[in-house]
Amino acid sequence: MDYKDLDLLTKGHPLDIARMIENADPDRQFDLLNQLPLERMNAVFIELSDELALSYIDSLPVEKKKALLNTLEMDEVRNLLEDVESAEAGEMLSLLAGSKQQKMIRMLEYDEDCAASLMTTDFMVIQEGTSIADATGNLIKTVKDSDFIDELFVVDSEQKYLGSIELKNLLAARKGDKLDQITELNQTVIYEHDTVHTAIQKLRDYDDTVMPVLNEEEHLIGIITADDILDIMIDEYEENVERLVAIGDYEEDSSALVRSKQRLPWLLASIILNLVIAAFLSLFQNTIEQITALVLFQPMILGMAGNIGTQAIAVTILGLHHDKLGGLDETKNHIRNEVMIGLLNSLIVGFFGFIISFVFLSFVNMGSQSPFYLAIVVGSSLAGGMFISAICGVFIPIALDRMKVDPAVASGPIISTINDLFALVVYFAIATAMLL
Amino acid sequence: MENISIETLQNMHPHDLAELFLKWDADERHVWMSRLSSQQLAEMFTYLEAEIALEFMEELDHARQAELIDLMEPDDARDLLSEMDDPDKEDILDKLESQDTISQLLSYDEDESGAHMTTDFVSLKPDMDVKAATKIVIARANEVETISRLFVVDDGGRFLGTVALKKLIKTKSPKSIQAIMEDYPYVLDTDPMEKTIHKMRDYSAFEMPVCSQADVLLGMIMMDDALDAYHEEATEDYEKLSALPEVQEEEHFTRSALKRFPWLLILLLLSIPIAYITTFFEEVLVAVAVLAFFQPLILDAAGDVATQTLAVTLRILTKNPQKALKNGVKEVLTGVITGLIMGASAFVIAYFIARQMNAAQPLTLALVVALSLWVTVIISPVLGVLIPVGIKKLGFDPAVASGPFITTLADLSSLLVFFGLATTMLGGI
Repeated sequence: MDYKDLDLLTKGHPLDIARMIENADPDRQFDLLNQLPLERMNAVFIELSDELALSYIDSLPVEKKKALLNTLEMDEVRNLLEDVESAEAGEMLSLLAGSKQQKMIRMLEYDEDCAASLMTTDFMVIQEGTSIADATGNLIKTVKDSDFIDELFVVDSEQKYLGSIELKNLLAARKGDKLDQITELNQTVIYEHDTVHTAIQKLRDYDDTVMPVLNEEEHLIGIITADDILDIMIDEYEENVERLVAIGDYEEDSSALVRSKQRLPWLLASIILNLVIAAFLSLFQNTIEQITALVLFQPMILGMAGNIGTQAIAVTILGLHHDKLGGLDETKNHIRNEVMIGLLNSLIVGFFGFIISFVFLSFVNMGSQSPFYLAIVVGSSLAGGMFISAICGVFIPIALDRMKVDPAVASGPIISTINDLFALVVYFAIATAMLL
Repeated sequence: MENISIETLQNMHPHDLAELFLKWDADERHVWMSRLSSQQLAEMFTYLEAEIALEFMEELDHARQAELIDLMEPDDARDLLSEMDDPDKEDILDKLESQDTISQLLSYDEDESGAHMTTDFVSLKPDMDVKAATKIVIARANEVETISRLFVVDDGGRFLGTVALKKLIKTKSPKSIQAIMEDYPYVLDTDPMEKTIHKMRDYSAFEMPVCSQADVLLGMIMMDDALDAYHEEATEDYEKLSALPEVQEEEHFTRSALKRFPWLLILLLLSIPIAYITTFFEEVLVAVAVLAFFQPLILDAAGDVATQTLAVTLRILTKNPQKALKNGVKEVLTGVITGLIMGASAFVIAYFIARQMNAAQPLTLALVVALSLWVTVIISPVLGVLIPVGIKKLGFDPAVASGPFITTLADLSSLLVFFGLATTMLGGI
C-alpha cells in the first residue's frame, strides 16, 4: 500500500476513504477495510455500497462480525438487515448486543412512511437532577464515535422526556450552575407514529438539526437528525421531477437499455391512448376532410391545454407536499382559487387565440372557410379545452391524495393525454357545429 | 389577545411566535412588539419570509431595526437586508455593529454559497495543545452556533482540517491538535449553493467550511440553513419546469392569474410558426385528412421524450456539468431503442385504425406514422441536451427558458418529419 492511501485511511474523510476503497482492485478492498481502525469503521462503512458492505461482513469471522455490527449506527444496521435474506438477517440480529437487539427488532417494525423509521438510537441521555460536572464527566467517558452529541436529552426518573441541552451550553456552564438552568423545555418533538412528512416539516419550520422521537408514553425512543431529512428531501424532489416527466428511477450511470426499459411502459401507454383518441376522432372524419385548415391550430390547442394543466397540477402538488392543503377549508379555498385562475386565463388566452388565428388566416389561406368563423372556433375551443384541463389539474392530484395515491402520479403523460382528448373533442365538436 | 400572557409568549419557540404574528392585525403586532425582548423579536423575524418581516419591521425606526438585525445570525441578517430598498439598506447598514460581516455577505449572489454562511466559528491552530484548545472552545462556545466540529487554520487563516469535539474532549494532554486533526471537505464562497448542498448530503456534513480562492476560511454553512436553501431552490426549479411563476400564498386569484398569463401568452405565440409550417403541407393534408388525427400522437411523443431528457440534463448540469454531453449520447441511444418499440406498436394499431377509417393506403399510412414516431423520438433528446447546455453556456439559468423552447422546437421538428414523410410516401394519391 502506498503512503498516500495509508495517509487517507487514518486522516481522510470517511466518504473519500469509502470512494477510494470502492475504486480499488476487488482483491484489495477487504485488505483496505481490515486496516481501518474500528473507530473509523462506522463512518466509512455507511458510505460503502450495499454490495461491498454485505460481502465484507460475510467474509469476517464471527467475532469480528459481532464487533463490527455493534459499532455501527443503528439506522445503518437497519439498512443492512433490510437488504439480506431473512436467514442471514436473523444471524446478524443475534450477534447484536442484547439491548441493541431489542431496539433493532422494534425499528424493523416501522413502516417506511413513519417518522420513526428515520430515527437513530445513538444519542446521549442525562437523568434529571444530575450535576453538571457528572453530566460532563459521564459524556466524556461514555461517548461513542457514532453518537450524536450536539444536543443531549434530559429524561426524568420514569424515563419520560423533559427537554434538551445544547452541548456548547453544557461545556460553557459554570461549576455552580444547575442542570435545569441550561435545559431547554417545551421543545418540539416528533411522535413515533408521525409521518415522515410531518418530521420534515417540523425540522424545517423550527430550523433544528435534531429532534427527539417519543412514543405514546412520552418516553424518548430515538432522534431524527437533519442529514437524514436532507437526504429524504432531495430524494423526494428528484422523485417529483421523475414523475413529472415519467422517467422512472433515474441513475446517472444507467445504460441506454435500462433507461429505455424504465421509460417504455409510460410512453407506450401514452401512444396507445393517443391511438385510441385517433380512433375516436374518426367520428369527425367528415369535418376534417371538409375543413383541412383545422389541423393548423391543433398543436396550439393541445399545447395550451397541456400548459395550463401542468401549471395547475404543479401548484396543487406543491401545496399537498408542503402540507398546505390539510384542512377542508384550505382545500376548498385552493380549488376555488385555481378554478377562477383557470377560467380567467382560459378566457384571456382564448381571446388572444381568436385574434392571432384571425390575423393568421387572413394572410395564409387554406381551404375556403371564412377566416372569421374559423378563428371563432379556434378561440372558443382554446378557452374550453384549457379550462377543462385546468380543472383536471386541480382535482386529479387532490383526488389521488385522498385515495392515498401519491399525487405526483397525476403529473405524468397519461393525464396530459386524457386532457388532449377533451381538448380535441371540444375543438372538433365546435367546428362541426359551427362550420358544417 | 388579552387572553395570551406575556409569559406564554416568552416561552414560545420563535417559529410559533412568528405564526402568531402572521395571524395578528397591525395593532396587536404593535402592542406585542413593544413588550417582547429584542432577542426574541430578532429571532422571531428570522422565521418569517424576508418580505413579510420587513413589512412588520417598518413601524420601527432605523436604529431599532439595526439593533434587531445585529442580534440575528449573519446569514439571516443578509437575507433581510438584501430585500430592502437601497437608501434604507445603506442607512441601516451604517448603523450595524456587524456592518463589515453583513456587507461581505451581501456582496455574494443569492445562488452563491457565501451568501448562506455564518461567519462565527471557532478556529484552532495545529500546534496548540488539546488542553489549551479545549479552553478556547469552552470560552467561545456561547458566541457560535455549534462547536461539535472545530476548524483548524494556519497562521495565514488557511483551512487545514477539522477536529471533532468528541475527539478533542476524549484526548488526553499533552497532544497537539495536529495529531488529532482530520481532513474535511470544504467549498469555495463562490461555489453554487446547490452544489454545496449536494456535497453536504454526500458527506453527511452538519457544517461545511467555506473558503476563499486562497483557501482562507471565511465561515461555515449549517445543515439547517442548507435544508432551507434546498427547499426553496427545489420548489423554484419545479415551478420553472412547469412554467409557473413564483407561487405566493394568500394572493388574490386575479393576481396569480395575471402572473401566470405571460408564460401562457409566450407559449401561444410560439405555436404560430407551427401553424405556419403546416400550411406548406396543404396538398397532402387535403388528400389524406385523417393524418390530422395522428398528429397529437407524434406531438405528444416528441414533447414527452424531450422533457424527459431535459429533466435528466438539468440534474446533471447541477451535479457534474462536464458529463452532460456524454449523458446526452446515452439519451439519444435510449431514443433509438424506445422509438423502435414505440414505432412498431404504433404501426400495428395505426394500421387497424386506418382500415377502419377507410383510408386510401392503410399500410403506407401506418408506416408513415411509425417511421415519424421513431425519427421524432431520436431527434427530441438531441434538443433536450443541446438547449439547456447552450443556455447555460450563454450564462442563463437553464431551468427557466428550456421547457417552452424545447417543446416548441420538438413540435416543429416532429411536424416537419411527419408531414414531410407523408408527402413523400403518400403525396402521389
